[in-house]
Amino acid sequence: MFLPVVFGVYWFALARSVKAQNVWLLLASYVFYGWWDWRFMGLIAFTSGVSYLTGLKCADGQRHRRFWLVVSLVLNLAILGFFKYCNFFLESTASLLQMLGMKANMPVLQVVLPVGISFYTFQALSYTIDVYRGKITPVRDWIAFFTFVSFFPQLVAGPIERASNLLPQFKRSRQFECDKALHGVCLIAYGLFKKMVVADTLALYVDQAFAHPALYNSTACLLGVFFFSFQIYCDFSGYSDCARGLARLFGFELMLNFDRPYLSQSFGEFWHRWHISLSSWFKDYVYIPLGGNRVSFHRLIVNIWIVFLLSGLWHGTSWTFVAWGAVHAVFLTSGILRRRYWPSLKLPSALSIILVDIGVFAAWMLFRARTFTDLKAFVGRMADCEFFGSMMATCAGLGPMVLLFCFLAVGLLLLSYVVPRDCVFRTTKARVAYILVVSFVTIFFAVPSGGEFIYFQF
Amino acid sequence: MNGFMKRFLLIMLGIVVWVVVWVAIYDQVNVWLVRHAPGNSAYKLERLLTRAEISETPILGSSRAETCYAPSVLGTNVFNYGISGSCIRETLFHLRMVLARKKSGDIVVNLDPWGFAYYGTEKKSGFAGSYGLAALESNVRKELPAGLVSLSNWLPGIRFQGRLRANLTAWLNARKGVTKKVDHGAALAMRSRTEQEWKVIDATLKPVSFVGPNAAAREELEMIERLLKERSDVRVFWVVSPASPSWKRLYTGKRDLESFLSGLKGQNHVVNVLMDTGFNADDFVDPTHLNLQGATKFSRLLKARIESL
Repeated sequence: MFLPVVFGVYWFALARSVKAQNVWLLLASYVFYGWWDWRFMGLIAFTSGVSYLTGLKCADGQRHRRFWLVVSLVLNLAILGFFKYCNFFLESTASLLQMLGMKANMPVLQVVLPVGISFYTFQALSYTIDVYRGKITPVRDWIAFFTFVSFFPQLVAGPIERASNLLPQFKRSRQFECDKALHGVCLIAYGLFKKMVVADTLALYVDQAFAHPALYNSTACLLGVFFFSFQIYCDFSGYSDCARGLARLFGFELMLNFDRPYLSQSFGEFWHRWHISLSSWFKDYVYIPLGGNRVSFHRLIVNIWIVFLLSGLWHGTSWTFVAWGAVHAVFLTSGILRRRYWPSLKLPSALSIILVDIGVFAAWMLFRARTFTDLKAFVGRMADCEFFGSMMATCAGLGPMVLLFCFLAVGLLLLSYVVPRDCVFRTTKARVAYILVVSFVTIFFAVPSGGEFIYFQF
Repeated sequence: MNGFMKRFLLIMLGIVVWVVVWVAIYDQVNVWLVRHAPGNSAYKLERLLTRAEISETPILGSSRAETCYAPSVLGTNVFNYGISGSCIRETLFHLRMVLARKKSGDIVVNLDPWGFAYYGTEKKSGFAGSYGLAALESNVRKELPAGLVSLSNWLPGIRFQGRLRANLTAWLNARKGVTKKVDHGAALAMRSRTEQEWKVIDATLKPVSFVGPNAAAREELEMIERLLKERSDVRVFWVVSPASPSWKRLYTGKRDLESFLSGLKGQNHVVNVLMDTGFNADDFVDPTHLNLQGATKFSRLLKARIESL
């Protein structure tokens, strides 16, 4: 009911006033966010307020610009650090002290992680930094800015928008375009298909395989890794597609967040196709300020490691996520070393894609296993090389039907790649046909009570 | 409203109609699959709760009822209504419904060794939504515990009588026994575990006790006792099926269970096979569920015990 009401009022009652539309979107976004947990509406408002005010103070020509930038960085990162990393660091410190033989009576705080905090904090920070750098002028319209930070289609799991892309859209008048809106519905339908049909079906198998690897054979573990790679892709990109589609319904364009990442021919290319909004954020606000690639070779490697360790930490409050970031840093470092010392070494495209996918899929084990103990058990089972066994051991105890449905889900996803995007989105009839087909498939193959989006936990 | 908006709304209306039609078709496909799959939970609930009369000997209970009792071994007119995910709360409700529909004969009620651990708690039994089909009956709906009849039981296609995959699996099992042998509602696992698998499973076991009835459960039991006093033509057998040797070693509720069962005698008959040493690891698919071999063995034993009473 939320979407039809917001959409209806937005276009029917408020179409003549951009300001009124922005106010309505702001109200809708806060109601949307408050529905998750009303206690954190104040927090997102505070983040928005801090970034808005410091943005005004950071503009070119202002006194103490750097001071206000630091205030924005410190306050926003402190909030993120407290809510997301407080217990992680306390627990890690306690473990370290215990390892060193010291007593550790660290407090345990019952801190609830606000949904989307990692996303909107980074989005707000990018604004202040861009104003400081002179890339954009500070916004005086606080309604537009608050709506930019809390815009409901992308609030809880991105994409992490840049002010230079999204903020001007709040100032412009928006006209309803049927084809654009239909394209938005196509994206929503496809996003729901990826989440409810592919990701949630694969989750059935993945959860079993990762929960009790010792009960199944090595084939089940390998399949678990393979299916999880597609589960996380479909879960996350499905949400991004829904976010982009919803934004289009209201006349906004959000950035593309995934561009067929499993077709990458190098790990560097993978990070230009996977979670593009986050990787570009780290590139622009961490990697480049550290010097980027205009530094010595050794410093370049250090910069890459810093970026990927931070990226791993952003994803979750567990050392397995940091290790996942480290693994990708190893991949990128090896690519750089290859280009430096063996520039003539070039592999066929198909082989490159396969090798990159093997590396990326293997790294996802760190992402999925919550602890190193779980990871060890899982990898250990794979290393047993017991690939053959009973059907139940291969099917992770779920039966051949579930395995069949998992392969079918991946097959449907790959089939959807075969359809050229230009063809689908060229005419109204093609768009409508696309929506009808995708909705039909979703109705029959969706897992209705499937889990939450994976990236909601970040 | 401009022309573009009108066009968009018309198209969206068409899409919504399309979705509703296919959701209704999906719903009917599921209903058909449910009604042709005796091992399906929703089938069992509909059969148990909507027929005017129950002539067979029903077996009630949780997944332990579903997997441990083989009707074809127990007798000629026996049906296994065991539903995976049921707690004792649901089982007692089903017992009352059966007593209202059964003229005479025997009723077998499986009691889980953890007793009333989940009665009246927030733990939702996995099959709650399966009341979908059965909940269409007003006399069933008014008896269902609060919270089990929800909007999801009514919207076409969202009625939770099972998802397509689960219903298709149940239907296939009823035809060909793909993963389980379906025997008059029982879903008998056709596998046993290897030694390696048992080592892993046993490592995860924790001590379990027997939790006695709380006030609400005692009220329910008293209601059943009153009904049984009026029904001398019906015998209720409370049965506790076997558990694996490693599970039994960790079970701490033996005395409490026996105390509860002795309180049930009078209007009921009790068959407690939990601690029976005649069952080894090969008879189980997991610590508390028998496989086909174990269920056959247990059903023969139960039949002999019932006939001796």
